Amino acid sequence: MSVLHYDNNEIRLRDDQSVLDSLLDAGHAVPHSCKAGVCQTCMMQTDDGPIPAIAQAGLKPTQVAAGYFLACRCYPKHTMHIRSVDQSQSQYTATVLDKRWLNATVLRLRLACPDMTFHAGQYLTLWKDAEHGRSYSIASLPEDPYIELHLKIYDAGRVSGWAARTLETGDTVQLQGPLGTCFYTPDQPRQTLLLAGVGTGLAPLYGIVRDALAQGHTGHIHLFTAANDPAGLYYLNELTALADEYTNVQITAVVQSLIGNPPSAINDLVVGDLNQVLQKRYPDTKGCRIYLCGSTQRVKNLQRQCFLGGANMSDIYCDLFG
Amino acid sequence: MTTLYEKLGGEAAVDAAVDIFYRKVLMDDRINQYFDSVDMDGQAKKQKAFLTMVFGGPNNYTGKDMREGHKHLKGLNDTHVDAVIENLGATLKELGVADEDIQQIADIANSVRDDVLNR
Repeated sequence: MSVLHYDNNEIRLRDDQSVLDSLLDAGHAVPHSCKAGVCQTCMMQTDDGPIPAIAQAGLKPTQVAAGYFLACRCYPKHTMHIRSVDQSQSQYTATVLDKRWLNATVLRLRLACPDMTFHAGQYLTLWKDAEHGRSYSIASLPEDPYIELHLKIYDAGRVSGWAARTLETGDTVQLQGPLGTCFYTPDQPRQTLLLAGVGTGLAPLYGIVRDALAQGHTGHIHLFTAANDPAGLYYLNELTALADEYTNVQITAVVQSLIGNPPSAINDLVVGDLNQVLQKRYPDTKGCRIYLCGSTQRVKNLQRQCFLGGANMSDIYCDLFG
Repeated sequence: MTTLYEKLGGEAAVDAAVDIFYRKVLMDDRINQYFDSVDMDGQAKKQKAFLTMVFGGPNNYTGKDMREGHKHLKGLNDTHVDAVIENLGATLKELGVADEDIQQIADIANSVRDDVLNR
């Protein structure tokens, strides 16, 4: 007989009972609604595969890869440790390997944390202390010997200020994660990938591009990195190097104005608004997979724009920076 | 004997229809104010649930659910329900669904009209 482990409880499963009904019967208040595998309110997570296919039907490839499933449609044949989705993350101790400024306001941290498994593009919480933490997206690949984060530094920022002024190489920090379903999956290697981000929105997108290339993606990959002005851009050498090495990679930098600094050495630098530039370059997004990263308002507008341009809702991945 | 839902192609048919239907309602000025939402993923899931229901698929929505779900929408009236059913028909036509099946689906949609309009 299968057993469920949930929230430090052991729950016996009857063969004819879904995970959801078993939890509800045992008195756990699990969010749910349609009980038909459609509304996805009862989404949960497990590391104990294999998960019955019907319990993952309708989920994005990234959700499937992260072990998400619908509790109302899951009738497992084996013991499962399950969690609600926002608990599907653990605490780790990491060591600061490297601190480097990428421009006047963006600080790169490289951390040693060999125990955390993740996908490039997911995010984790960096804890300054027990009460104060900030989420940052992962710009590196699991095969890199470090986890790389790009921190936008605010002078008065409680966590970013601490990271900039106090944190030193060799220090240990607490990380929690990973979370998020904005990452690459290799199910459509010839699909056109469009990636658009503002400021440190480049972090997850940079990781996703490298991940796609490492997994043999042959489709066209076009990354748009945007900032108010050229001083807000960074990693332009690294991005140009990627475009030089891989013929299917194209990089476009978008700035609202050229004030302050002369344009940096990047082939395709456009002055304008990111959303309008993307609309002009890709009015037809049918068949594309799209990764968007930036403020909530910006990303939501881009999502709407790309969806109306023809992309499937399930092919648009959003990483919201708040 | 196959059900309407099975005949249409089940969940795969719903998935094919959702994006097309959602795009149409977003572009329809008669009703897009009711569908324009910051949470597009959430909206898409509601569309999927709605389409599953009108395709005759598995769902547990009661009349009360339909009332509660639409009560907060200001100024909702028959013209809006008509527009939704029109967009639904256009979506199905685009997908090559037979006319008699489209009619059956429209009938199911109409059967919840009073609940949606809370009357």
